[in-house]
Amino acid sequence: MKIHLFLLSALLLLFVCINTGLAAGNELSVANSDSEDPTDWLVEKLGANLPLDVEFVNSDGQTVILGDLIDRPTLVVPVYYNCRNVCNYLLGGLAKTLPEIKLEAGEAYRVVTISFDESETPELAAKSKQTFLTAMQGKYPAHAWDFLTGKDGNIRKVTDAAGYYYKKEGVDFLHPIAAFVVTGEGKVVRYLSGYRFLPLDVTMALVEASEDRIGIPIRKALEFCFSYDPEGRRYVFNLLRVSGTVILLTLGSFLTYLIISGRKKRS
Amino acid sequence: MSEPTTYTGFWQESPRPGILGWLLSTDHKRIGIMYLCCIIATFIVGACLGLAIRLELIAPGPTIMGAQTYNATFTVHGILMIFMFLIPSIPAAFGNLLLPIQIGARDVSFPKLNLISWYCYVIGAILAVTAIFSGGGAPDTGWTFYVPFSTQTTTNVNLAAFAAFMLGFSSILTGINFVTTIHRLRCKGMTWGRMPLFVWTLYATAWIQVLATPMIGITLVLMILERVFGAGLFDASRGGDPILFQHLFWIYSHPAVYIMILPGMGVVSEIIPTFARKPLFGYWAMAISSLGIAFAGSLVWAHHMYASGMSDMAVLIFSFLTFIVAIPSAIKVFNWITTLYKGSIEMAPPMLYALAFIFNFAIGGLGGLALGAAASDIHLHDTYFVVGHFHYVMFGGGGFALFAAMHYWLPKFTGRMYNHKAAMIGWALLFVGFNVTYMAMQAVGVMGMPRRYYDYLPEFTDLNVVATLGSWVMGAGLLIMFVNLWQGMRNGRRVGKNPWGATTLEWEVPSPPPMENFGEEDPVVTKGPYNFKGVVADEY
Repeated sequence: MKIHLFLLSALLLLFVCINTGLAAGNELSVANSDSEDPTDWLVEKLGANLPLDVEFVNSDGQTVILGDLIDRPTLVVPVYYNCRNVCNYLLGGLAKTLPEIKLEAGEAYRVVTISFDESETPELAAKSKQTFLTAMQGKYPAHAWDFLTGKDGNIRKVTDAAGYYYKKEGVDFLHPIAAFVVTGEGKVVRYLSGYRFLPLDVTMALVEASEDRIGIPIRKALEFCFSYDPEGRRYVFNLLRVSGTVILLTLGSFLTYLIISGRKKRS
Repeated sequence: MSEPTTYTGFWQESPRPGILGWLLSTDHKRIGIMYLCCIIATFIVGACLGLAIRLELIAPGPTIMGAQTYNATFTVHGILMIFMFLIPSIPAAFGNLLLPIQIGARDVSFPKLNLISWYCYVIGAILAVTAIFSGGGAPDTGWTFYVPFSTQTTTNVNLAAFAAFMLGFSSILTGINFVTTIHRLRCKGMTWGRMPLFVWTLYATAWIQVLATPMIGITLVLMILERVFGAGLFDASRGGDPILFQHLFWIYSHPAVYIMILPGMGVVSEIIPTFARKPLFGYWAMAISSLGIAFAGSLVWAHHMYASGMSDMAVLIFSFLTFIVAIPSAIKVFNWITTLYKGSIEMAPPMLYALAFIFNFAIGGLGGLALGAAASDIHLHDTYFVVGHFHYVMFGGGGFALFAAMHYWLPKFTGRMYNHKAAMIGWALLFVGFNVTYMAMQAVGVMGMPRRYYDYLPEFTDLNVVATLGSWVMGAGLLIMFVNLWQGMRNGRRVGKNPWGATTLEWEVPSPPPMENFGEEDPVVTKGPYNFKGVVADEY
């Protein structure tokens, strides 16, 4: 039995070392792909806090404090409702993605669209909300997605805190196409770029933002299997780490079985 | 001799007659013999390619082939010798022949899986040969398949990589089988402390096979994805990393070096006590150092990559770990020598090969330290010193161990003895030719001759001529050895159970062993593996 214990511990050590080696090799590859940000319109301020005491008006015309909406993980989407191209793609993409997210909308997380055009009215916001809720064909609770308008000063406070910059040019705005996820305390945890988000990316970001609200084992497992690719700004399936772990666990249980079962009884 | 003179053991006893009795056999000895035939055939082809490479290098400029043919030749030489010869040589061929008998079992744990692994090997071999003659031509990447060249070359790399993938599968299946067999099927009294050293080294090897081989499978699949779909995994311009390939490749391929050498060490550990008539010195040190080599050897892969541009800290750590591997290896060498000390040494052919193994392995091992030290490696990297070094370890070690095993155990499995005088002449030519060839390569490498070129500067000519002449002597030695073994196995004098006076279990069954190895009764072991008290060699 002594030799068994020795073998077991030696092999366990080997597993650990190889796994560490795998992880190290993987980090090497990420470190080598430094990103070049082509634009200053979006400066990622991860960990920054949004001001939660500012006032906005929702699509029903009621005045709301931002902190009342952001009391759980929230996807914040800055757009303007009169936008004639990318904002609609962005919201349309969200309308496709949101029903596919497996978290409970309104409970586990919330979506808040903020117009950065101070001239826009709650009526316009309501129209926009109607459009996209219709597009979702009732698959999404209306209360989980707010469409806000507000005063320029208030808007700027929020967007500046998140590093999101825009500029009016004629009737249009120049602005980045991005959204960000904040925690219930308003802390920015992840940016999502582009106008089509994968459900997985949004889920991962929300899970990260939720901290304690979603079961920790699931969260840990997700974080282990998927790592954030800073250049592509998305979550990638960590093939090497996952396959390495699967191999080691399989072999570890194989060895444990062999040691426990011992020699075969001869008939 | 108690057997009748016509006794042929497992060669005749089979549920099916003829060729199907072999192709569908799950008997470990038959599968071992089939493996042996395949690897010897591979070796002969690979050796001819090696001789052609040496002939090309006898003078600067093209002599018998041009650059592209040369690239393909050394690539195919490497793929054949590594994946199809060295890796399965001792573990698959002699491991299958001996492992069950040495632990007192009637077969391996999963006999059918064993046959499947042989078929995986054959399929892999067929694919590899097909890759040479089809598609865009024989692969020209070197056996390491390094990116970015391997993702860009138009030669038939996909098929060759897939062949290596299949061969890896075969290796994993054999490993799983051996680990299970050693744990589950040891006979009564065969405790861990009574297992022959060959079994210990097969055990360590089998774990490397199951642990490391999946890595090469994944790596080669990623490379094929890169080639076929442009996945960008190893392409820096698309966010990938070419160094990642080197890490992944060597995470397998360095431990694979120990797949090749560890069972060879086991063979030598069997032969030395037998021909020194003494128990092996330091049994537990030898057993544990086998596991130690397997363990430490899994952590040193990046010492192949000092010149790749990885961080100095990584170089330092991997250099340190590399020196650690030298410790269990040196334990083995010292223990063999201590076993010989004051022994009653008999210079039979297997012993000569085993001693040559120690000599060659010591030179190769010391050269390995020169390469493991980062400062000297920067100068020696990608020179002929590296080529000389790994041939010393792989051929001088692994290859000679296989020849030792053939001279030691083939009489057991064929029941006939070869001509000793011819064996010694073959050995002498092989040993001298080997050292001339590869020592000249190491020397020309220190002078700065780079590897993997079909051409070289005029100042390297003399040593290259020496190396090529040496390769002819070596070729002559190989020829004599194979012809002598072949004739001996067919027409040699018959031998009894124990022609060498050895002590492990396989020498207590008839030569050749019967199906299921042991008669009605399972063996019961009551003593250690190297207890020579009262053991005498049969006359032949």
